[in-house]
Amino acid sequence: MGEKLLVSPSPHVRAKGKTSLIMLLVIVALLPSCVYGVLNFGMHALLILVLSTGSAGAAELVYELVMKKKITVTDGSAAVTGLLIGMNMPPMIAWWIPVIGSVFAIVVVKQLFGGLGRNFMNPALAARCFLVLAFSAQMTAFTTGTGVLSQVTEPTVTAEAAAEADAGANETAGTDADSTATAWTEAQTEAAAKTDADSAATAETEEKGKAAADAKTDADSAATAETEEKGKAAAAAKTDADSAATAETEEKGKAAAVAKTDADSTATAETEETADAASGATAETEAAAPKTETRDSGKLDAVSTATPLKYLKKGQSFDLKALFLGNTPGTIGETSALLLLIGGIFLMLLGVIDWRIPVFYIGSFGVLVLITAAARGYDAPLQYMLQELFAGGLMMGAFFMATDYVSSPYTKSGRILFALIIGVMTWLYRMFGMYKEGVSNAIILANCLTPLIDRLTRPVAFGIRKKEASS
Amino acid sequence: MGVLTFRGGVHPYEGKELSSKKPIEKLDPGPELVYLMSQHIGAPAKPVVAVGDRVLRGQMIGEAGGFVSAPVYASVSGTVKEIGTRKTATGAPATAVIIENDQKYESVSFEGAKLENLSREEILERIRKAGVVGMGGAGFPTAVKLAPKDPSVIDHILVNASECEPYLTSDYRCLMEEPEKIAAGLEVILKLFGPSCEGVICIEDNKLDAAEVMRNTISGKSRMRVAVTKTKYPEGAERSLIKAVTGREVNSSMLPADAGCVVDNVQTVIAVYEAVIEGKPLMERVFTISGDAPKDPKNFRVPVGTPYTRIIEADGGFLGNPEKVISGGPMMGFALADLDVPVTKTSGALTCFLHDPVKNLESGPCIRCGKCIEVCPQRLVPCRLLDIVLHGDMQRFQDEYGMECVACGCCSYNCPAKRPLAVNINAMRGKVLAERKKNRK
Repeated sequence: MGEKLLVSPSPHVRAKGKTSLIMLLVIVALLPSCVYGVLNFGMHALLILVLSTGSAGAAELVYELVMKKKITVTDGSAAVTGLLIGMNMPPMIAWWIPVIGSVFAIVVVKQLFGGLGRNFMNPALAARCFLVLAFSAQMTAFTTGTGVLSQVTEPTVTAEAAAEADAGANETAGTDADSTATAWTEAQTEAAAKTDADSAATAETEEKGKAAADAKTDADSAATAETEEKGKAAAAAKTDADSAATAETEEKGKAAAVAKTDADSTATAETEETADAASGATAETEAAAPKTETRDSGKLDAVSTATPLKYLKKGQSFDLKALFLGNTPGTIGETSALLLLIGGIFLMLLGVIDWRIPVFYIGSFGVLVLITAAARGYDAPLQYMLQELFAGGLMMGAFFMATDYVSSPYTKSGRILFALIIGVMTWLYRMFGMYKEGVSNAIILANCLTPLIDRLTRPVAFGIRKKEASS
Repeated sequence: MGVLTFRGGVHPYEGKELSSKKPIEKLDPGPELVYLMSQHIGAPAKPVVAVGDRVLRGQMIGEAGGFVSAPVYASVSGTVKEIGTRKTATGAPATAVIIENDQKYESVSFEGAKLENLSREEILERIRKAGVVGMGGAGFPTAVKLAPKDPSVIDHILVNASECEPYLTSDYRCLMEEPEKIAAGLEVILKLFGPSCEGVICIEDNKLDAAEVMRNTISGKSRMRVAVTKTKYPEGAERSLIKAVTGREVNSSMLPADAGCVVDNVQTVIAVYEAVIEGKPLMERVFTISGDAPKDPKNFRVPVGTPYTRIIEADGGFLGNPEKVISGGPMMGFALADLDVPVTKTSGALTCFLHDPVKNLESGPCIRCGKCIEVCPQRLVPCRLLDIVLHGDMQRFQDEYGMECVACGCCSYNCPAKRPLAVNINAMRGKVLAERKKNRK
C-alpha cells in the first residue's frame, strides 16, 4: 500500500449538518421577509439590511484580526446577527445606526464574552435594546410601506387600517368640539399641537422607535407628523374640516403628541419618559394618503403612521388581514406575520429550530391574551388575540430570536420552560406595561435565565432512578 | 404492541446493500496466521504450545488465564513459527502465537453431544472450554455471562441480531444462512435458565426477510420469539436493546442480569451451539468487508488469526488507494494505521473508504444547539460533559453521569460544530475508571 492510511477516533461518518449550514438556512428562512421589507419600504431598506449584515461581518473579522483569534466570519453567525438587526430597524433609519448596532452586537455582546457560543444574550436583541435606548427617536420613527401583498392604489393601507381603528380611537380619544389640549410631560418635554378648524390629529411614536400618525378622517384627511433626530420628535398635523389626526410618541425618550380637536380646538400632546421630545401636530389637507415626514439628519423623508400595537394596547381593532400579510408600519422585517411564519415553519421542518420554543411561546402568550381580552370585555377576544400575535415583533421573536441556540436552553424541557417564561413576560409587557412592545425585553430576560434553566432541567441519565440521582 | 425502540440514536447511511445479498464465502487464510492471546475481556490466555510444535485445527494453543478469560484455538493445522508480540486493531501490543499454515486442515476430532444428556454445569463447561466470547465486539466470556449469580431472575435471553452498525452484514447473513444453528444455540442457552425464561431474537426492521426466515425456523419451538425493532443506531447496544424489547433500563453500575436479561450476539449463539452440540471450539467467524474501496464487498467465513491483508487480497484488493480502513463499522470501529492486524473472535468487519469522510472536518465552538443531547441514548448532556472534560473536573464529570457514556458516538455524529465529544468523554471515563482502580488497591 503506497498511501498512508488516515487514523482518527470514531465515529468515522458524520451527519451533514454544519454550523455554517445552519446559519445559511436561517438566512434563507429570513429572506422572504427581507425581500418583502425591501419591496414594501424601498431601496433604503435594502441599504439598511446590507449595511447591518456587512458591518456585523466586518466587526467580527476586524475584532478577530486585532485579537489574533481564529477567523470565524465564514460560519455565518455574524451575518445572521447583522441581518436580524437590519430587519429590526425602522425603514427610514439613518444608515449609521444599524452599523453601530451591529458593531455593538458583535464586539460587545458576542466577542467580549468569548465569541460564538459564549454570548449569554441574543446579540441582535441586545443591540436592538441598546439602540432603542441610545437613539430613541430614530428607532421609533416608523413609516408605512407601499403594501406589496395587497394592491394599494389610493390611500395606503395605513389609511384603511386607521379607518378600521376609527371607532375605537374615537372612544378613547373622546373627540369633542372645543376640547382642550393636555400634555403629559414626564421629563422636560414639550409638545405643541396646533390644528385647524374641525380637525383632530394624532401622531404617535411607539416603543422601539415608531413614529406614527393615525389619521382619522371622515372625509379625505391627512396627517403629517414630523420627527427630528435624537429624541426630539415633533409631530405636526394639519387637517381639513371633518378630519382628525393623532400624533403620539411613547416609551423611553419618545415624544407622544395627541392632538384631538374639533373645530377651533387645541391639541393634546402626550410625552412619556425621556427628555428632549417635542411634538406638534399640524393637520394638512391633502386628499392623498396620510403623510408624515421623518427627518433623519435632514435627509430622509418617509411616510409614517401608527403601528398596530398602539391600537391593540387600547383594546382596539386592527385589520387582521393587513397585519397577517404585513401591510402595516413597523420595522423592515417584522411586518409580515405570514412570511415570518413561512420562514419559521421551514426551519422547524428542517429541524434547525426546536418547535417547542415558538409553539409554547406563541401558545402561552395567545392563551393569556385571550383570557385578558375576555376579562376586559373586548368585543372579539379571539380576533384581538390574533391581532396581538401578528402585530409587532412577536413572530420574529418567536421563530428567529427566542430560538437562537446560544442564548436559549439546550434541553427540551428547558426550552418549554424558557418559552413559557417569554410568553408570560411578553403578556405582562403588552397587556399591563407602559410599552407597546415586550418581545425583545421578554426574550432578553429569559436569555439571562438560560443557564439556570439548563441546570434545573438537566436530564437524569438513562437507567438512573430519580431517587438515586437526587441523593 | 408499539414500535420497539429507545430514545435518542441516529440514522447514518446504512450501506448494507453493498454486501447483504451475497452469500458467505469461504476464505483461504493464507500461509501465516496470528493468534492474539487477548481476544476477550479479562485476563489474556497463556500460550500452551512451543515454537516448532505441530498443531492441528481445533487444538488449544492458549489456555484461559483466569476465571474471566477464554482459551484460544488454532483454526488451521501447521507449525508454531513464533510466539511474540503483535499489534491489535487499536495499535496496542499483545502476545501472539504465529502459526505457519500447512494447508492440510488436519483437525482434532470434535466430540458431539445431545442437549438432553447434558447438565447445566456440563453445558457451561463446554462453552467455557470452547473459548466462546461475545462476538458482537465486547468479547466478554460467554460462560461467565451465562452463569449469573441468580439464574432464576433471568426471564429474557436476547439474541442480538440488530446489527445497527452501518455497512456490516455478517449477522444478517448468519440469520439468512444458519437460522437452525441460531435456534439450536438459543435452545441450549434456554436450558440454563428457568421455564419462565424466554428467548427473543431481536432483528431491526431493515431486515424483515431475516425476521421471516427466523420466525419460520423457530415455529413450533417453545419459549422463543422474534422481536422486530426499529432500525436506529445504536439499537444493538446492550442497554438500548434491553430498553427497546423489555422497557427496562440498565445503568453503568448494573449488569443486564439486574434487569433479568442476558444479551448475546447472534454469532455467539451459533458458537454456543457448535461448542455444546458439535463440540467445536470457536475458530472462525463471519466477517464483512465493505465500504466504497473494496472491489467486491461481501462476507467471508474467516478463520480466527487470518491477517486483514489476506482478506483484502482474497477480496480482489481495492478500487484505489483507500484513505481510511476501519476495523469494525464506521460508528465505533478503529481506524487502522497498519493493515497487518489479525482477525480475532470479536472482529466483525473491515470498512474501507476511498475518501475519509471526516478528513476535512474542522471542529468549531459549541453553539448549544442541543443536537448531541437529542441523540444521546444515555440521556447525557455531551456538550457540557466535554466542557467538564476540558476542565479536567473528574468529580463533576461523575456527578453529571459521564460514567454512563457507552461511547456509541451519536453525539459526535450529530454535532454540527464537529466537536470531538464521544472520544473525549470516553477518554475521561477511562481515566476515572483507572483512578477508581488505583484507589481500590
